[in-house]
This record gives sequence, C-alpha cells and structure tokens, in this order.
Amino acid sequence: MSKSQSIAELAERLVRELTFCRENGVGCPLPLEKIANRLDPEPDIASLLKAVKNPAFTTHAIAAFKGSLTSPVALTEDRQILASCPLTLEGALRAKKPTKTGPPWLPSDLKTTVEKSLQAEFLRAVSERLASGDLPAFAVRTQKKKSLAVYHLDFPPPLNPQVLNAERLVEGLRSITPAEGAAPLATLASLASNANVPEAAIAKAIQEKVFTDTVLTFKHGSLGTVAVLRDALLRFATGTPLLDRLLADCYQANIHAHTAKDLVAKLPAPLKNLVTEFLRREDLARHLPANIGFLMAKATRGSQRLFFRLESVQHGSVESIPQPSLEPVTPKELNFSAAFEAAFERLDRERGSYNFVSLVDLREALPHIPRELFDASLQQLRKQQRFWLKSAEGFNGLRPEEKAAAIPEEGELLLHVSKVRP
Amino acid sequence: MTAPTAQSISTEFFSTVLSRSNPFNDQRVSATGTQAVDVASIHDREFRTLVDLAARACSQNEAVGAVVWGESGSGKSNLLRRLHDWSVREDTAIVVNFLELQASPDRLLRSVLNAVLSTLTRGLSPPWHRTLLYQLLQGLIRPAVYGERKLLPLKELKRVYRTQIAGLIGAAGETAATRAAIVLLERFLIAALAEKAKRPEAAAAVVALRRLSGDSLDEEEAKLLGLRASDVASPFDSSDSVRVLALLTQVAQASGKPVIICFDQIHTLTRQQVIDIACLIHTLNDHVRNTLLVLSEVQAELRGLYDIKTFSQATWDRMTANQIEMPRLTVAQGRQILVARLHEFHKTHRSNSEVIKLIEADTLFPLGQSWFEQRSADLVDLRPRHMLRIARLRWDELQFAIASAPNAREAVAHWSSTPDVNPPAPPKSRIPRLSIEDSIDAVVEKAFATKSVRHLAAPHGLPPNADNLCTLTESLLSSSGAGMVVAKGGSGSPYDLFVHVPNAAGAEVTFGIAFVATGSANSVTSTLGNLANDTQPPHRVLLVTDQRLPLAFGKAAKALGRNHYKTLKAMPNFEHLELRFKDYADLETLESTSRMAADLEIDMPDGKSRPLTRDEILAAYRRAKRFHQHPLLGKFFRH
Repeated sequence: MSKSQSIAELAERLVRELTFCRENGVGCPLPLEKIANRLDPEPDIASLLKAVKNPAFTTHAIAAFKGSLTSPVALTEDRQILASCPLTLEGALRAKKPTKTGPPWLPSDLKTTVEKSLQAEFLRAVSERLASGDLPAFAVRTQKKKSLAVYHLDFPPPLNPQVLNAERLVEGLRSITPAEGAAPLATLASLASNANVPEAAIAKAIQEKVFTDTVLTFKHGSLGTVAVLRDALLRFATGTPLLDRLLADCYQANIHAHTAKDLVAKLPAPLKNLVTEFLRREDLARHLPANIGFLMAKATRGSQRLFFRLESVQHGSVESIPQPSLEPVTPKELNFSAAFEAAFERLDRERGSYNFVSLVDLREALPHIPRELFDASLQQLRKQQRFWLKSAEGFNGLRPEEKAAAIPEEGELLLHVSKVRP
Repeated sequence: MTAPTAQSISTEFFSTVLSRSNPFNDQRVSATGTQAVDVASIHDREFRTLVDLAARACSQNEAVGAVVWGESGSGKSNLLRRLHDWSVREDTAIVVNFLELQASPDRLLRSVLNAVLSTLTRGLSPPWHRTLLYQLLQGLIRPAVYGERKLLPLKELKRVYRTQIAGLIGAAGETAATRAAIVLLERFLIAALAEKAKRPEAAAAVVALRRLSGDSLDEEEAKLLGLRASDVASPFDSSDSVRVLALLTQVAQASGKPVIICFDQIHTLTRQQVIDIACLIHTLNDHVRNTLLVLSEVQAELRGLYDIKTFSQATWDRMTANQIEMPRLTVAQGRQILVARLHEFHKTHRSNSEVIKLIEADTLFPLGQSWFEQRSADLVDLRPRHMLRIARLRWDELQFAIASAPNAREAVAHWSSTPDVNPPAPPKSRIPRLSIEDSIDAVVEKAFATKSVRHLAAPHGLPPNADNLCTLTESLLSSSGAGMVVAKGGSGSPYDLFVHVPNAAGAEVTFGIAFVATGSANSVTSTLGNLANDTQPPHRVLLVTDQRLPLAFGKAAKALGRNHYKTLKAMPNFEHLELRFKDYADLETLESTSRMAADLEIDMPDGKSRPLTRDEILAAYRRAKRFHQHPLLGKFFRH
C-alpha cells in the first residue's frame, strides 16, 4: 500500500471512529489525539496530521484548528456543535498570544484562530456565550471598553500597578520570620521600602482586595501604621497563651466564667475584632485549646457563651448509675438501603456504569456497617428484588480479599452486585 | 384436591422408567434431548431486547453491537438458541452462530463470510432455488416487477436485477470486490432459476457461491461464469471478504431481514485469539450494515479482560454499545423450568392413567411440591443451571430410594404411604457417588454428545474450511498430552502442519500435513504439485480433505493435478484422508467442549459443585480414547 493510500485509509478510519463516537454518545466533538488513541494500531503523529488534511477526512469531518493534536474534530454535519463546544473556545484562547490589545479578547479577535470554514459559526457561538454568561469554567468574561470580552483563567490580563504593589507588600510581610510564637509584624513604611513600592503608591495599594483580605493594619503611637498577617494574628489570638491570659485577667474568686465581650474588652481594636469573631464561630469547640471550655448560658436575648478554664469546673464525686446498653443499630436506623444504593451508584459510575460492582468495594465504601448487619440488610434488598448477587467465576482466580468479601450460598461464592433495573 | 396414592402405579414405572433416566442430567437448557426445553417467559425481556436491536439494525440500516452477559449457567447460550429458533420460525432474520473462533486472524473475515453464505445456502447444498439466498434475491427483484408476472425473460430479469442492486451499492460501498460479487449473485440467480426449470446451466450456481465465499477459481470455472480467469485466480483477502459481506447484508436488508452474527464465549480462547475476535467485531461493526453483532460472555470474565487492557477503548465501546444483562431467576421461575422439564418427561407416560392423576395433583411429580418448597425456602434467586442441579440431585435420591429397597414393590408401597407423593429421601451419605473421574467423564460425555448432535443437525454451521481444520488439529494435538510437537508449516512450505510424534523406540516420526478444502482445480493442483515435488519430504505425508469438497482436478483427463495425485499415491509414505462431516464436526466438538470447561460443573462429594478445567476435559478425552478413535487424530496416536 502506498503512503498516500495509507494516509487516506487512516483518514477513513478517523471518520469511522468519529461516526461511532457520535452515534454511541462517547463524547463528541473530541480532541484529535483522543480519536487517534482509540484506533488500533494507534497512528503516528505525522500521519495523523496528514490524515486530517486528506480529502477522505475533510469531505466528512472538520478539525477546528490546523496542525494541532488537541484540536477538537467533528463530522461536518456537527459543525454548529463544534463551533460552540468548550474545546474549541479553549483552543482559541490558548492559541492567542498576549499582545498589547489582549487578553482579554473580543470574539472577533478569537475567530481568526479557528479553521476558516468554521469562523462564522464560531463568532456567533462565542458572542452568544458572552451575552448569556454561559461560559465554561476556564473562561472569564470581562468588559473591554464597551464590549464584552473573554480570557482564559490560565492566561489572565496583566495586573494593574496598584494590585502589583499590594501583592508585593503582602509578599514582603510573608517573608518576615518572627520570633517563635509571635506574629510577623512590620511597619508599612519598612514594608514598602523593602518591596520597592513608592511611598505615594502605598495608600492605594493597601486598599486593594488582595491586601485587605490578607493583612490587618493598626496605628501605633510611635511606629505609625503597623501591618500583620491576618492568619498569623488569628493563630496568635486563638492560641492557649492569649486566651489563658484573657481568662486570667478576668478571673475573680467567685466568678470563673466570662462572656466573650468581657474577655476582649481590653484588647486593641484589630485584635479585639479578630478574637471576637473567633469566639463566635459555630465550630469553636474544634478549635479551642484543650484546657478551655465554654457552655451556653441564659442571656437577656436568647443565650450566650460563657468561657472558663476546665480546671475551674466543680464536679461531683458520686459514681454514675450504669446505663442500660444501647439497642443494636437496626438497618432502618442506619438507612442501609440509601447508603448502599448511593455507594453502589458511585462505584458503578466510577467503573464505567456496567451495573456490576464487587462486594469488596462496597464493603470498603461502607466500613461503619458491621459484616453481619451488612449481609442481612443486603439479603433484604435481594428479597425486595432491588439488587442481585452474582457468583464469582472460578474460585482459583479469586484474590484473598475477594474470598473474604464474598457471601457463600448454595456452594458458590457471591461476589458481584447488580441493581435490578425496572 | 386430595393427592391420589400411587398404589396402583405399576412397579415397573418406578423401578425401570424412573431409574433409567434423569431429565435433569443435561445442564445446558439448550441441549435437552432432541428438542430444546424452553420457558419462553423466562428472559423474555432480554430476548425482546435482542429482537428490537436486530429490528433497529435493519430499519436504520446500521451495524449494532450488543453484549449478552451474565454468570455462567445464567442462560446466555439458551438465549442465542432461542434467537436462532425465532429467526427460523418467523423467517424474519438471518442468524449465524460463528463457530470458527480460532481461525487465523487473516482468515477470520473470510470465515465469517463463509459462515454467512453457508447459512444462506444450507452449507452450499442444492436445490439452489430453495435456499435463503435465492429468496433474498427474489425479494430484491420483486418490488420492481409489476403486476402478477411470475416469469421474466432473462434479459428483463437481468435488467431488473441490475437496477435493483445498483440501489444497494451506496450503502455497501463501491469496490472491485462489490462489483464482482454483484456479477456472481446474478450468475447464481440465473443458475438457480435454470435449476428450477430443470435446465443444465445450474452447475454455475455452486461455482458462483464458491467464489462468493472467497475461493479462487480456475480457468474452466471462470469461463463457466463468464469471467476473466485472471480476475478470479486469487482467493479473497480480508478486505474483499468484508466488502462482499457488506453487499450480502444489503441484499438481506432489501427483504427486511437483519443479519445477526453471534459469538458465544471467547474468554476461553488464548489472549491473542480474544484480541483477534474483538478486532473482527470492530471491523464488522465499521464496515457492514443491517447487522446485529452479538457477543455472549461471562460478565466477570469479559470485565476482567477489559481491566487488563485486552481491548482498545474503541473496540470495547463497540462490543458493549448495548448491554443485555442476564438476570438470575426468581424461585417461581426456577419452578417453571422444572415443570417444563418434567412436562417433557411426563409426555412419555401419558398412557398410564395413575401417573396422569399424580401429575394433575402435583405438577412436580415425582420430585414433589413439598420437596420444592422445603428446598427453596432459603433461596432468594438462582441461576437456571443451579435449579437443574438441585432437581438432578433430588432425582438421584429418588432413584436410590427405589434401588436400595429390598424390592421395587416395597418401594412403591412406601411411596404410596406418603400422602404428598413425596418419598422419604435416604441419608445423603448413602447415595452412591461416582468417583470424580467418573463424574467428569459423564459430564464431558454428555456435553460432547449434545454439541455433536447440534452440529450434525446443522452442517451448514461448519462449512468446508481447510484453515479451520488445520487450527483445530493443531490445537487438539498440542494439548493432547501425548508429547507431540506440533508446528505450523510457514509460508512457502508444502505443508500446513508438522507433527513430530515420539515412537516406542525413542525415535521420532514426523508427519507433514496439507489441508485442502477448495473446489478450485488451480489451488488443488498447486498444493499437490508442491507435495509431489518436495525433495525432502517428512517421514509421512498426509493430505486431508473434506468429503463435501472432493479434490478438484479439472475436467481434462490429463490434468496436471491428477498427475501429481497419481505420483503422490505411488509414494509409500503418502496417505490421503477424506474426512466425513462427522469427523470434522467431532474435531470442532472436541475443541469447543474443552474450551467450555468453566461452563461444565461436576458434583463434589461434599455436595457442592465446581467447574471443570480444560486439562480435566482433555484427560477425559484420553480415558474415553477420543483421540485414538478419531480418523485424523488417531493416526498420530497409533504410532
């Protein structure tokens, strides 16, 4: 077979594969390399790129980009789908090199990257997406003068100088290594000097979101404006030494529990806000130092938290009366059926949706259900004709964990589960 | 209704009839006696799905892939058999069960073409005007014939045929092979009409079919068909074969009949053969239309093959595009199977009025409804094969109860004393069990007999095929356990196979075997010439042919092939073995039975059952001297 014949044959195979993928919902359009991966034997890259130019291919199919393995391809009758598919938009955004005019890009900027015969449909599709806001996750819509434009998340427009200055200040603060247990602190002036941020630009830079989200500032009598990282201050503020100190400061012989308001009363403003915010957290119990506790007490309106050291708690010394043992957990209480079904659906999906899941995986997915309960509940589901069990084929071929997970019945080992379809 | 007692049933019934046979002995539902026992309501949904897929393939004129999967013994093969029976009964589809799974990769497509043509022509057997292929061609022409005209002048017939078939070319693909096939089908049609009219031109039909199935033709044959000898001198390659198949499926589509090609269980093949069959399905899926491609396989096995990347994703997607899962049976469905089996058994005792009364009182007689209820109390669902096994063991118990009674009359009396027609089962330990070897032999014997009967009933399923004969012989001799070394002849060698057999003296005898199954005098002459001119022949030279295709030497009395044959016959180390169809079928049965090892189960002494291994089946063959007794295989064993 001559080389040109073999290229033409490869082109035909690509079209056949594309047709199959389309008819069987494999996913279409697909990148050219994905289609090629499905062929057996897999073609080499040079032949593949030649094949998509061959009339045997171009008569029936279209590639969105020339000379690209990642180019999405589709049958010609699916050109609309190809023009509007996310793969094509992503390919176009990646193909555009940054210039003075972009990113972000106007739809008309992007259109030139795609195959000529597809440009009109592509332009229309991108414009519609921008207008409706229906953009894939990688694409970001923005305003460019009076028009809507788009850029790729991985290739954003260059930052403005204020944001750059703010980032430099944050970076400078992060690079400070404080003494052990202390939070990194710096004056704004020294930070700006180290980060080469002009003095005149500081005021605007510290108003940028990237700065205010990360840094807290407060005035100091002699030092001027001082900056501290929020997370470092929070660690400091919620650590044992500070909370312990606050409780100690509030401690009175006959008053051992205190409200958050009392605790933070003497703290400077930024720290006061931070600690108050922390002490109001819903999941506070998980973050509180081990020697400190709180309980809910009656307040004028509703309830409030009272904080105390655990060592302050007075407790009784009479041994408690033994409680009767708890009833075994019933399948109903556990809602085995729902948990099993959810685990089955998830595992089956992960394995290609062939309605065929091993008991090994199901038992692993539901580790909190004891074996006896699992087997008995599964038997119930079988009786309700919601699931089938299937035998393991060939005992010799079973791994130890499969033998352990299987259910023996009538001389065979039942290992696989299938859902009874209505 | 009170159950009648069995007092008046003749002793002979229990002691002879009941103990002589066990209707549950055949595990495979499809293999019960001469007529299959089937419960149509079981797996009806799965059957309907297959029928719908076939209808879709036809109405949308496309290839549709489907996998029928489930546990072993879940009824997959029975479902395919039901599909075949349906196609014959309803005359709505063409079902081909592809058996030559072990053909070499470059021959697989031709083997499929062979199998399809064989089905369309009952194994290339006249009368041609009664074949399915003739009907399909008539179906193609009929819509273009106006009015009630039954006979067309030859010229008009050709014109109509050519017009009609031209409409199929778009879907079949226009290639040289397709154009040639169109001419061959026309020749066949005219020859079949000549045969119907008892005119002499009918001889062209078989030659046209041979060429359609991929054989090369010699000059005389080409002349007979009005073709150029150079155009038909080479056999079809894979590409030609698939193009011809594509055309045939389009001819079938014109009559509204889908072609269904079934591949039953491939996991027992070697890894390479599994890959080859998967590629075959892939190629067919891409090139033919109006075709349903059904792969029937154990789900865990197929999934395992996929997990170890045996198939490309594209192939896997095609094979499993439509998944038909074989569900387990409910207990009630299991009972239906028993009733159906017993019904067949009861039929033979319809003359015994007492037996009829007992059956009316208990449709599970003699197993007993109460036994069934007790036995199935803990069952949720089960495989059909397991249901049959339970019944078989119960029957064994009944037989033992009768056989171990001091006399049969007492057994009858004992039987009648139980109002629920449920004789007490003897302790399990007292039931005589066969040794494991005996059990294996019995199971293998039954499986072999079942398959053999099926082949003999449908010889077109195994058309003459030298390549398949060679592959079967190679596989069986290699695994025979007799220490033979078997090797392919390689290209350029006059022999397809070399077999090195150790003899008693510690030396080795080498056989060179050539397989010939062609009607082409050219091919025959070439093969015989190569054998006759071999200057270094092996110790023994064996020429193996299929009785259905005798050696074709051509019409000339002094044909070269005939001379070569005479030369060979004069050689002391030459032997010509003409295999009867039964011999060929036995080779296929030996091989396929050994490959279905996991599908055959024996009862173990602990009451459980387990599947057989291929080695155990081959050992059973040796014990039964199946290799020795076969006309071809025996030649190497007797040395």
